[in-house]
Amino acid sequence: MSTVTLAAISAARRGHALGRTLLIAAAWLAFALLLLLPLYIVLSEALKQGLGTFFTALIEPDALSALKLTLIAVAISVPLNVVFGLAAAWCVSKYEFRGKSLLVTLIDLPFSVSPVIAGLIYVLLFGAQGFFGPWLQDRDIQIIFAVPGIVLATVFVTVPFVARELIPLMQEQGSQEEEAARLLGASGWQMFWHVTLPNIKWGLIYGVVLCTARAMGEFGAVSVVSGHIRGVTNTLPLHVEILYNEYNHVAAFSVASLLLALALCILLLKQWSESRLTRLKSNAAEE
Amino acid sequence: MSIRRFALAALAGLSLSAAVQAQTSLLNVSYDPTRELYQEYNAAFNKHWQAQGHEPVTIQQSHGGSGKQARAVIDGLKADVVTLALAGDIDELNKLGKLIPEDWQKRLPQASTPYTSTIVFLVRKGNPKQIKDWDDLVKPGVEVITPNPKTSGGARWNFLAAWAYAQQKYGSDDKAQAFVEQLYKNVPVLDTGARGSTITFVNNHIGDVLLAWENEAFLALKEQGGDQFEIVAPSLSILAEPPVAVVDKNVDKKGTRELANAYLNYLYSEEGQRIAAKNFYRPRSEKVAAEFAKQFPALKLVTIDKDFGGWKSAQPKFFNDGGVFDQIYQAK
Amino acid sequence: MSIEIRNVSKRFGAFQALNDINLDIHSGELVALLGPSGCGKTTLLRIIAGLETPDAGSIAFHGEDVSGHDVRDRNVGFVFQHYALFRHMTVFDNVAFGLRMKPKAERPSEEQIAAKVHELLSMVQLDWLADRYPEQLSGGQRQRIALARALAVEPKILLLDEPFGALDAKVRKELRRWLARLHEEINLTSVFVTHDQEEAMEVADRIVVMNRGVIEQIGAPGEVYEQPASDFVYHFLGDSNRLHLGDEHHILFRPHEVSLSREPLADHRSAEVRDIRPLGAITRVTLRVDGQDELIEAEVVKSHASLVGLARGERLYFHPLPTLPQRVAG
Repeated sequence: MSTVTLAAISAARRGHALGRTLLIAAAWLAFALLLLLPLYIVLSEALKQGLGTFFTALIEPDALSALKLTLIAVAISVPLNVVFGLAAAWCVSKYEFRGKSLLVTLIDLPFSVSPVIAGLIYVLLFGAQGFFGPWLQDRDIQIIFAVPGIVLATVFVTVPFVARELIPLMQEQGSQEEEAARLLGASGWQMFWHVTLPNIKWGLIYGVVLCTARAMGEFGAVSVVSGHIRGVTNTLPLHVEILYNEYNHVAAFSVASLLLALALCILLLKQWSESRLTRLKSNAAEE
Repeated sequence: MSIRRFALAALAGLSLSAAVQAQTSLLNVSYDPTRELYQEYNAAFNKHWQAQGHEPVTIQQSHGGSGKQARAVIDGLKADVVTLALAGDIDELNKLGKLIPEDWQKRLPQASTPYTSTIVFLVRKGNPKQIKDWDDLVKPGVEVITPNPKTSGGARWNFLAAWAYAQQKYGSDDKAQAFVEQLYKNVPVLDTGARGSTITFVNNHIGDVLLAWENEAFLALKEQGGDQFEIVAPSLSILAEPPVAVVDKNVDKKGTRELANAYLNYLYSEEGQRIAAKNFYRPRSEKVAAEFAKQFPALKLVTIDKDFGGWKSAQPKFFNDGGVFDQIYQAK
Repeated sequence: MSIEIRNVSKRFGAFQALNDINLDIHSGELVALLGPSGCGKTTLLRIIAGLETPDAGSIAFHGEDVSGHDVRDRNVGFVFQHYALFRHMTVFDNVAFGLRMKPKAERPSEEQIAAKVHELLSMVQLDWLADRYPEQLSGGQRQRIALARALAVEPKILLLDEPFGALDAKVRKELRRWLARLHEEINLTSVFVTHDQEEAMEVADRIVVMNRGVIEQIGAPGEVYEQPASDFVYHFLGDSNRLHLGDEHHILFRPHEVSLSREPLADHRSAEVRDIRPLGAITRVTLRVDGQDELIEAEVVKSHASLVGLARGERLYFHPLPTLPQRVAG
């Protein structure tokens, strides 16, 4: 090769290297601005008046009941959506049936609909003036402006997460292992437990993480159906809004950092289980 | 096995907390700025109620834009009492929800309004844009903060105060409409409730002037320090009358009518009136008003009934779908 | 355990996969379902296994109608083309799976299971891989494990769906011979599906040639090769040439059924050499015969006299020597 082309190649290589460095630097900058900076601000505002004020804000009765309500909403919506996601992914990946693509589109509906609309749907269905209103009023059943309404709204906005993780995963994995299991004499449940579930473990865990994070942080839909009864129908995000609106700046950020801490816990749990499983596999491989 | 045990424990814990809440509760659905008022009032009322030999009562509060709160009560929010920003919103409880009789306003003294307020301007310290009266709000380059009349009661009082001024000064409905249209062109953001607008102006530092309930303005000065803001009283304002009412259908079902009546009546007591005044609401009681006279500026006031034919006429004309507000806001 | 297939039909949407199939498979024999893609062979296999249900017809094992039996009740062993080993279980756990899934009453103890698993792994000569995971094995190893797994529950029938289709040519050949030997030992009624006629001929006791949902011919390998029941069977069972004799006559003959000569000979036709390709032990010569567009492929031993100094474009004289009784047909 001539010296000219050699020089051109090495110049191109350097150019590539420079481009790569710039790109990585830009990515880090974006990460710092969009994620690290807000995190820092939340924590510094929360601790502005010292740890004492910070903890007082957290153990205040309205804050505790908001925490309880958030946890209840999560504890109900996540398992429900795991069951639904598993069932939907199973149907979509193993069977052919009419309306399959409609089902998949409907599962994505909560993504495309504004959360406020989601909340409104429930008001129109279960409110006193709504479709089921009179029926519910007669039996003294309160759905909207009470805990059930909040749980429903949370369930609605988190429907897609588990299903969307599992559907492509299960479609890609196919049905052959399940067929093999049945042929070897496994019952439906045995097949699901011993063959299907271990194979989708990753997708399931990730879906649960996303589902939980969204359930904890949901604001719009819950705000519409909440009624904002202090100490009763306010979740953590709603409580943060209230604190902020009452000139309780520091308390608002303190409760917000509680939300952050919960989110971090979930992520750490996911990391831990991920590493446990990888270690298990590599141990078996070494033997 | 351990999952089962955990589930049982959780159920036990939940049912225990449900049992504790079997104590009588009263839900007060209120409008946006009254948070501090009712925090203080509820503690006082509970003491009074127990002193009369009753069991302590749990008073639950809900706050939000007045129209939005009325809508929620109609949709099933089980309010025992409503303490909203204007009579028109409580009228809806009768019209749309059949929750309350038509003559509700006659049941308590002073047209069921234990305290009143008015609309003033809150500006930045030093009043850099020299805002003295309503005419300054329509000047170009002035940003006005006021909430959305569709959801907020305070927003509607703001609107009518502006309208009243323009009509008196410029003479006709058409000129008034043009004035208000110009004013809303200067509004960068519409919050759903009065408190939301206050936060936008005070915390987020948006806007040059806040159109606020008088009590909101005073509270902002108190909370944020008088060194950042000042109150400017316009030449004309409106007597804002936020009424209170028992929600008949709900209290009869819950059996809390006696409690609810006592709760609202206590607002008219000397202690109730004093709490209102301390929180910058103008008390009806002449005795207490005299005590706090220096606190409240003297203003020339129009009223909803005399000058607008009452909410029954004003609400549809100005704020319902297709009304004046829709006409001018779309023109934006 | 014999298999009786009666009047089985199956369609998928508008596509008729199987059309009134009747077949008897005798106890202990190894039958190949041979045919091109889409002929219905895999569908038929899956129907026998219970993985698909026929639209019409019945399946019986040893006279007992199993058409209504669920997959897990048919006691058939199944080997998939892509192994379908449980990817998150070790080889040992894969093979032990069927035994562990038995209902409590019938389930052997863990010691018995371990003994059985090791016995099977020894049989497939892979005992040393018991603790590995499927992803650590080669294709050939995986398929042998899959077979061990299928045999663990002592099925009465073994079904194999293109078992060597995913393997390299050499491994394929090794395994097919190994399977044939295994079958001689254990004598389990077996049905396997393939599109490779060489494989079918090498392994099967009988071949069922299928095309577009129907059975073209059933017979021993020699029979279907020497006495094909139709043109399709002839063409499918090996390479074939067609020589037109003018007005609707043509003869079919195999590439090696030719006489070639550099010099003109009696009855030999003239042809132009289009391609000469050495294929190891034999050499294939592609010829363009005067009078037809369809090319003729002749295969001769590499040392054949006619190949000496042969180049493209030269003339060669050939005469077909078909062993197939010719029919007068178009």
